[in-house]
Amino acid sequence: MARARVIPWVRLCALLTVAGLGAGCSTPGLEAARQNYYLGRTAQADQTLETAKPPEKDEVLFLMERGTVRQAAGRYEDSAKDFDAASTRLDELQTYSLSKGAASWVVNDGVENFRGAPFERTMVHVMAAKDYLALADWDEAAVEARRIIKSLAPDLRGEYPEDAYSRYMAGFCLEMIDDGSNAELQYKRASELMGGLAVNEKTGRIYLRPPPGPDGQPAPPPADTEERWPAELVAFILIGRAPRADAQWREDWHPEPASYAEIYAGDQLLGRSYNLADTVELTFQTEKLRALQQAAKTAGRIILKEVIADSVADSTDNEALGELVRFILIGLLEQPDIRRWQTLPRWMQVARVRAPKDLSSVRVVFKNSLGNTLRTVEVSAPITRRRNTFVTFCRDIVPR
Amino acid sequence: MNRLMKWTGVGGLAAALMVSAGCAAFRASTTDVNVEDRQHFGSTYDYTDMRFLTEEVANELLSSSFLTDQPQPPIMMIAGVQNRTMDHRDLKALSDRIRTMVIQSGKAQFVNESRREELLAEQGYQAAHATAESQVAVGRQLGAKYMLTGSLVEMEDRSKRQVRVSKQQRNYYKLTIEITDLESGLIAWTTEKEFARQASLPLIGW
Repeated sequence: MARARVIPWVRLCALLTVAGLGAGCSTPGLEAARQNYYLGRTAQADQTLETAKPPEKDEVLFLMERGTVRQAAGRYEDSAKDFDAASTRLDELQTYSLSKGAASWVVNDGVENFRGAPFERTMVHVMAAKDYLALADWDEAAVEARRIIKSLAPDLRGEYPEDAYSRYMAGFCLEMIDDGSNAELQYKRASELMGGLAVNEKTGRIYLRPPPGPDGQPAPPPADTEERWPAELVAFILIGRAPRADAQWREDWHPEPASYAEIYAGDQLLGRSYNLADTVELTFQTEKLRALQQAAKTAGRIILKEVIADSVADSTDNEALGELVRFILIGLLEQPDIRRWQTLPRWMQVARVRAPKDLSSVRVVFKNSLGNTLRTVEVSAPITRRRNTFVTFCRDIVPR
Repeated sequence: MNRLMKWTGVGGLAAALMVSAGCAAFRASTTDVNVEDRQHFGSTYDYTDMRFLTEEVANELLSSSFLTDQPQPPIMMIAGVQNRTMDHRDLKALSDRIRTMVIQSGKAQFVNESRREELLAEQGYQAAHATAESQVAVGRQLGAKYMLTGSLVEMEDRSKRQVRVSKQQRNYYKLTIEITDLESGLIAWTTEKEFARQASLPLIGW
């Protein structure tokens, strides 16, 4: 009789083990693709992800990573499709899945659909906007600008942090379709988030914020930032890598000074980039906000697992089986959900500089925060043009 | 014995449910849909809205004094409808349909501005390879007098955060179409069409 009661519980243990191991597995090839990407082997990374089939719960993460890799490989249309698919899927995931939610109380949070942190959901549109800028598809870039603004609305973002880079990108895309008033609103918000830097709302030029006047009022933008140049270059510069899956921070962690890039046309220095977002800092702030909620859920789940293990031991009169269930549920399956968009850069920067009217390529010199040169990249594509504004972007990964 | 009966009962009930549902969950099927039926799966712009908007605009344009007072069908070109919504949409389909309806009325003519490159390539090919009597004459194309442009604007409103089981979403769309006199730069004709739709989206699902 006792044996008859033990068998279903053993089956349950086996099922949970399989489910848990499944929950712990990431998309095949994703980690290899990330490594190739950071080694500058974008073609291999792209090829690995081309045929990969992600589990349904990781579909959004997969599309985010593949979109980034395809962008680096110059496949802007395909990259934009991936980001658009990720956005559509994220909309669908606003409906809470009861089955996966319940499973997450018995297994771990890794069985739930990946939705990413709020700032990652905004970055889907920021990255897509870059694809459309590279394609000189200004109207579609502006669609992404509106989606960025929507994702940053307080009722969707909640208390989670927003960043100046996303706001600047939204403002710039709107500026490119002559929606000046809305562009100004975005530049203004970017300026409020930028600390020691500021953006001229009319021209989008970035400058060091002057000290406030004697009456404590903010100083007006320097007169030279009001000037419209005959031709200008807006370069979106991406440096470093987003935090790894297992990255953790001390409570008193502070971000270190950012690297930056100098932009040259031939031998002429056009200007430098300024840091508008740090994904490590955004992740740190997000996790701080989530910590309490996460700890409460983990504690509740462990209590539930203890109750299950005890009831197995009681109902089967078998302590060893109870211990086995406890080991599986807590020892093996209790794992934190560490899924992150890891191909995002760390520092997201903008250089808005005066440029020659016949600009066809630029030299981007990446420097560390002390001004030491790290590497130099020649950029001739993508460079698109809208009237007197050239647009380009570059990441500090040297293609191999 | 009791357990056996219980499981048999559960199995029977499941089978009955599947049969009564026609096993729809396990069957692929296709059905022709009447494109004139305005049925929507959500609150956002769809093909039925494209049809509705283009018909409204084309009918208003065809009955307008701008066209009826013209001594000859004017020559027009389409410079595109700007997408100012929050989704990537094919708005060329919208301007193409307006053009089709206006051309079919015979009240205006359109140059094929989107196929100019192919047109020039074909003319070049004919100049080099076609017989003299079948070649089209070069430099005889007609210039447009009017330019059709427009924009589709979207505004979205959502129910705020609160305890609820579904989310309300409302989308408003406004299509503006303008016809500009290419010589004077004046807007010769314009119209606006708008609609709004609300949908309820579940917050909890299986």
